[in-house]
Amino acid sequence: MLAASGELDLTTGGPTYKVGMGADYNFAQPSNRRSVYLPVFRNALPELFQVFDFADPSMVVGRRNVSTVAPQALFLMNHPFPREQAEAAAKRLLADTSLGNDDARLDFATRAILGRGPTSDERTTLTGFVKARGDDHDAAWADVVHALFASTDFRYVN
Amino acid sequence: LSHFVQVTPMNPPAITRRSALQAAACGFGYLALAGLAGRNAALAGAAANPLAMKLPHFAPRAKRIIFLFMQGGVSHVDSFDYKPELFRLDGQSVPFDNARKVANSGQRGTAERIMKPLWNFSQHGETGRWASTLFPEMNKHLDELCFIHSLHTEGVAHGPATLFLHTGATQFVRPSMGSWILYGLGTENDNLPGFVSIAPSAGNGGARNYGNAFLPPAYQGTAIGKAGGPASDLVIRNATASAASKLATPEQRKRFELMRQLNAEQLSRTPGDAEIEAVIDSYELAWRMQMNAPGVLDIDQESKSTLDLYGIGHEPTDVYGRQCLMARRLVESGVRYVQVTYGDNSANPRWDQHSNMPKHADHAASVDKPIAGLLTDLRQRGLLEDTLVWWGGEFGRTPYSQGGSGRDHNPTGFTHWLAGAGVKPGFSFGATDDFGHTAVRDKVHMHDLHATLLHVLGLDHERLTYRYAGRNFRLTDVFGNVKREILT
Repeated sequence: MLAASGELDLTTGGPTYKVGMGADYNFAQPSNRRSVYLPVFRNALPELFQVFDFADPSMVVGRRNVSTVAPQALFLMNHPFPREQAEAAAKRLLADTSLGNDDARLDFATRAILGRGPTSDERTTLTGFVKARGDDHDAAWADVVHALFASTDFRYVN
Repeated sequence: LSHFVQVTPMNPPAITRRSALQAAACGFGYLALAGLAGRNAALAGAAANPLAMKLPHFAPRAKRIIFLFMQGGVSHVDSFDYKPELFRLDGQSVPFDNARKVANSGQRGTAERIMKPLWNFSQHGETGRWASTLFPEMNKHLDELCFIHSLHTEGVAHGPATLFLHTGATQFVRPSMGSWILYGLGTENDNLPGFVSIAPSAGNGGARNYGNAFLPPAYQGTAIGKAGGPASDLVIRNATASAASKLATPEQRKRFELMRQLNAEQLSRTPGDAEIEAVIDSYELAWRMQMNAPGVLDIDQESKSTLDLYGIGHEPTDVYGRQCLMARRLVESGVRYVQVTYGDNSANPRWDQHSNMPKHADHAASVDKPIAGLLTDLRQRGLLEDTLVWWGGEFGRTPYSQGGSGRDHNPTGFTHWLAGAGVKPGFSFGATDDFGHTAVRDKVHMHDLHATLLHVLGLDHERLTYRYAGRNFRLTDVFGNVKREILT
């Protein structure tokens, strides 16, 4: 999501968390750095991790759980993180002058998010949605990107 | 829509859930119908819903439990376990096996200074039960309560004792009690989570206290708000988008509809993939939770007299009152297991008065009326007939002082009470010694309490097992005895 939105911080090196931190309770992930820089604290697992079956850091885990449950859908539908990234990605798409029309924007968005171009059905659905939303291009494209983030092809590697 | 819901044994489902959803051109609002189609498909042999209702092992005495968790360790010697000796010997040194010192150094029989209860005791109700003035509202219900005075547990510190209370283990990661119950019984309401933890603490095990551990994730508890949070925070996580308006906005509906349509298109290219079908299920349930949960949690629908009963709208009872009322609304809607935590996220949770016992009065003032109101409300609505209410902390507190004005943790003897379905009203079971320090008569280990609570729900704690890492596991490990003496 961060890569698609352009919000990914590619800085390398440096500490993963503030030196001298007393406790991990209520630790908040402070940056958009790559996940290798994301500290794993037993008492402050990021919500994204909790929801999507990250291995419990208190447990020996020989095999990761794979679940598909409603809180994951709720996270993708309503958590601020996917929405914020979708909005940032929409701004980026609309600001890119090399993408002259909705078809070009959709090609770019699906390649960035799904690693492939859109199918003809997807093109019809998504560009149709943008047209139907009228002048509010920012919101319309944020919804399109949000839907791509919530799609099974984004969640599963085929 | 009717063409895809007609699934009979003579007419196996030629249409998958996915195509059903595609056909549901009317959109997300019709997903409930699509869910019904899915249920028929399940009857026709598709994957079973892990949350489907299951038969208990034997006839249950209760259908659901509300657990009122007093985080930090409420003092039994200052509330419900009356020990006249503490008044007589106030200030004197007496040898005790101080659990903390035993754990740290193995030293036993250390001299500790007795501290008398800070609240005076008197007799109440027809049963003439002794109770202090700490919980005046609860005292009006003493004839309904079933006290266990001889509880003892594992863990001297909050972390292990809290985990033991919730999961039956101090250090290994084990499923929480609510998860075991949901696994054993399934849910009565498809539109709501079956196990809800209201205002859980992030500390002392945090999410593990309502976690599923190795049980399938469908059995994990759903958190509503967090410990110490404001009343506005009391929503199902990430179902918040609709909480303010109580209904989805047109923009949200359009967005969800787009998500549904895109998923349907992507799924159509891999027909019959169970994993992918599960994604559709998860969106269906998410949508139903989104549409139903805010209504269930919306206490504004309640009458003023009900709000007053719980102390809602008044300090200091407003927050816990709202949480207790939500618990009633949730069990009324068929939620199996609801926990309402009075706690916070600190290393010294609310009731943890190591140095300032008078602070107990502030906490008592916050929970006393809401809890009494909950009991009254449940009884008035007939819900106490099939709902069990359970009250207590991860341990009690010592009869001797710590640092002059506080009390330390006491896992060796403390009090919990139960009320409602399946347990004897106006009853006391077990006893601690003359000081309220150690359980000595009819001892009830936390494993025994777990076994007994499962029994009340119709579950045999020895048969409620799950195979993981090559062997069967259960909530009570290899321990636990059902305490039939307290049951009706």
